[in-house]
Amino acid sequence: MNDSADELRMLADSVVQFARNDDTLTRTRALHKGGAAFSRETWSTLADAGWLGILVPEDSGGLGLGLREMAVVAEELGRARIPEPVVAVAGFTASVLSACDRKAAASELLSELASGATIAAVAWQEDPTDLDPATTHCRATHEGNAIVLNGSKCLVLPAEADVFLVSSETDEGVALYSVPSDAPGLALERRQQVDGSWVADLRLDNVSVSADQMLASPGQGLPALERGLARAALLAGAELTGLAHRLLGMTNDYLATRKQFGQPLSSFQALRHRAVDLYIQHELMQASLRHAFRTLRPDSPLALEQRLAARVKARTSDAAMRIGRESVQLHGAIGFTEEADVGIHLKRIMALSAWLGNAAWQRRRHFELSRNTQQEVA
Amino acid sequence: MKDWNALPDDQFRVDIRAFLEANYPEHLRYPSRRMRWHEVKEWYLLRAEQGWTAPGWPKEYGGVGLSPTKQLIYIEELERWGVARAPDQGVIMVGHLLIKYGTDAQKKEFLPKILSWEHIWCQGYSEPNAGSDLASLRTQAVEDGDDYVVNGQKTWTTLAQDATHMFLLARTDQQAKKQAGISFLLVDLDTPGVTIRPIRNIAGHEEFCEVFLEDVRVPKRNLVGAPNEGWTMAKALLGFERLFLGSPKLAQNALGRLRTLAEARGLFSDQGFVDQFARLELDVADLGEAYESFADQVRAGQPLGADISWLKVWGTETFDRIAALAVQSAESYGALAGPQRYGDTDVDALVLYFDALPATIYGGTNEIQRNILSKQVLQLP
Repeated sequence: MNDSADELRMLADSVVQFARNDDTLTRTRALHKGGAAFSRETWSTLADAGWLGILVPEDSGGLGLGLREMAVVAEELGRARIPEPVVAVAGFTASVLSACDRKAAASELLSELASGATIAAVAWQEDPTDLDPATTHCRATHEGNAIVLNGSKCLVLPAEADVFLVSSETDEGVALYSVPSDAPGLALERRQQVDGSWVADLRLDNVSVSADQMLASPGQGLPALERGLARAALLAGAELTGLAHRLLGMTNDYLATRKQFGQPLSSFQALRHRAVDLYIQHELMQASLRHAFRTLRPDSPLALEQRLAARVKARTSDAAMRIGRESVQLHGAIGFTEEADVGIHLKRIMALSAWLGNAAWQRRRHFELSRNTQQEVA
Repeated sequence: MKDWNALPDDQFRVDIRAFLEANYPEHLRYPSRRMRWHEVKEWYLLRAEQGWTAPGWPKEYGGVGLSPTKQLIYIEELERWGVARAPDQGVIMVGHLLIKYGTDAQKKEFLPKILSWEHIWCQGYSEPNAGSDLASLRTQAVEDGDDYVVNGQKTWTTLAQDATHMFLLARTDQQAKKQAGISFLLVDLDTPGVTIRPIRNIAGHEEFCEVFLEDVRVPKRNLVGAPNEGWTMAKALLGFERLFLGSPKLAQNALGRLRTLAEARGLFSDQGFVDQFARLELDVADLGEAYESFADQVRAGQPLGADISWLKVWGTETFDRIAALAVQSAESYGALAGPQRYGDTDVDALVLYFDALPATIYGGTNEIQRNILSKQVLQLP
C-alpha cells in the first residue's frame, strides 16, 4: 500500500464513521415525511468534514484534491444512502466552476460552496430529451451595463439551491452566469423525483445580471459544462456502486437468514445463482471505475474523460438498476413494502441512473465517442 | 542461455512479438478449430530445439523459468498473434505436477520427454458419470504385485488420439468417501487394454475422445504422490491456469469479427444493432479490466482466490452473446457452412458460435463456477 492508497482509505473510513453516527435511513424517512429532500444541518456537517471542498482548490478554501478522492467519498455516501445532493453540488457544480475562465467570480462561489454556506446548482438543460449542453436557447443580451437573461431550464438538481449557474447563448457562444434563486424575474417550479429529491424547472423572464456574475465568458461556457458533465457522471457512477454494494449485502443477508420449507432461502440453487449474478454485476461496476481512475490524469484531455465517464455511467446505471430490481424480487413481498430498506435504495438508484443520461443513452454515447476516436487514429 | 527475466517487461514483449511475427507460420494463425499434433508439430519441435517448450518451468528442469509477469506477457503475445495450441497437457499439467510431487525417478523419466515432445500427454479426469461431480469418478486402480490394475472409462479427453500418455485420476480406496480415495497415475497409452475412440463434436471435429481402460497394468512407480492424495494434487494444479479460462482474448477477437461483419453489412446505421453492439463493447472492456486486475495479483506473486471464477463466467458468457449476435447479424448467411465473403473480408460466424458453445461448459461449467462463488465468496449457507 502506498501513501495515496492509505489516504483514500482514511477518507473512506471518515465517511463510514459519519454514517454510523448519522442513522441515515431513519433521518431520511423523517425528512421525506415532511416533504424535505435533505437537511441543511447535515449539509453543514458534510462541509465541516471537508467533503464539499474536495474538488475546490485550496486557495478557495477547499481541500484541492482530485476526482479519485471525491469518488471514494461518493461511493461511501452511496453505501450509506445519504440523501444530501453531494455529487450534484460538490461534484457537478464544483467541477463546472473549476473549469470556468472568470476565476475571481468562480473562486468566490467555490469557497461559499466548500464552506456549505451556499448551495449552487447547474441550470444547463432545457429539454428533458436532449442531453447536449450545446442546445441552449436561453439568451443573454446586453441592455446598457446589465446583461438580461431570457429562457427556461429544466430538471435542475437540487431545486433547493441558493444560486443557479445558468447557461445562456450569446452572439459569441455559450456563457455561464450565477443567478440567485430570489432574483427578480426568476420563476421556479419544483418537481419531486422518485427518491424524494426535488428538481426545479426555471423560467427566466428578463433576469438582470451584472458583469461580475459572469462565471464563464461567451464561448467558454460549453467546455466548462462538458467537463463538469463528464466528472459528474463518473462520480454518480461511484455513488451508484456504493448503493449497489449496500443492496447486495442486505439481499445476501436476507437470503442467508430467511427460512422457507425449513431451510434458508440461500440453500436453493436457483437463488444462489441469482445472487452470484448480482455479485458479478457489482464486480463489473468496480472494474469500470477502477479502469477510469487507472487511466485518468489531472490533465487528461476532455475527450478521454468523456469516454471514460460514459463507460462508467453506462455500466453503473445498468448494473445498479439490475441489482435494485432483483433485490426486491429476492426479498419477496416484504421487498415491495415501504418499510423495507430495499425500496429506499432502489429509488435512489433510479434517480441517479436517470440523472445526466441513463445506461442506454450512455452506451450510445460511448459507442459514438469510441468510433470518433478510432476514426481519428485511422 | 539468455536471461529473459533480466529484460525489462516491455522489451521482452517487443522481442517476443517480433519473433512470432517473423517466424510463426501464417497459415496456422487463428485456426478455426483445435489443431491436431501433426498440424502444429513442426512449429513446436522448432520451439523445443530453442528451449521454449516450457516457459513457466524452472530452469533446472529445462524450462525457461520466466517470472509470472513474463509468463503472462508471453501468453498474451501468443494469443494476440493467434498461435495454435499444442496438445500441451504435459507442459501445463504433468510438468508442474511432477516438479511439485514427483519422485526423482519420475522427473528424470518424464520431464525431458515432455520438453522434446517425445511424450504427448492427455488428461484423464472426466468420466461418463463424473463430469461436474468429478469426485464421484469410478475408474478403479487395484494393487496387484508391483502394478495397479486399472479398469474404467474416461471421456471428453482432449486430443487423446494424439497422445502417448495419460495422467489420470482413479479410485484406489473403495471404502473412503468420494474425494478421499482417489490417486494420480501416469499411464502409457501403448499398454494393452487401452482403447481410444474419437468423439465427433457438434461442429464436426474430432477434438476429444473416450478412452476405455480394461485390465490396464500400470507400474506402481507411476503413482504420483501418496496413494489417495490425488484429489488434493489435482486441485492444487488448477491455480495459474484458471486465469486463462477468463482471458478476454476470445471475446475481444469475436467482437472484432463481429465489427468486420457489421461494417461490411452496413449494420452500424441500424440503431437496433448499434445498441446491442455498444453493450457488448462495454462488456468486453470491463472484462479486460477485470482480467488485468487478477493478472496484477499473479504478477505480485499472490495466489488467486475463488473469486477468479466470476471472470470465467463473465468472459465465456460475453463471448457467447457476441457469437449469438454474429450469427443473427449474418441473417440468411447464418446457416451457411464455412467462411462467407463480407466486403473484402471473410467471416465465419458459425466458427464463433461453435467455439462459444463449449466455453461455458469446459474448465468447470459456469453453473459449477456459480456454486463455487456462492459458497466460497458470498459464503451463503
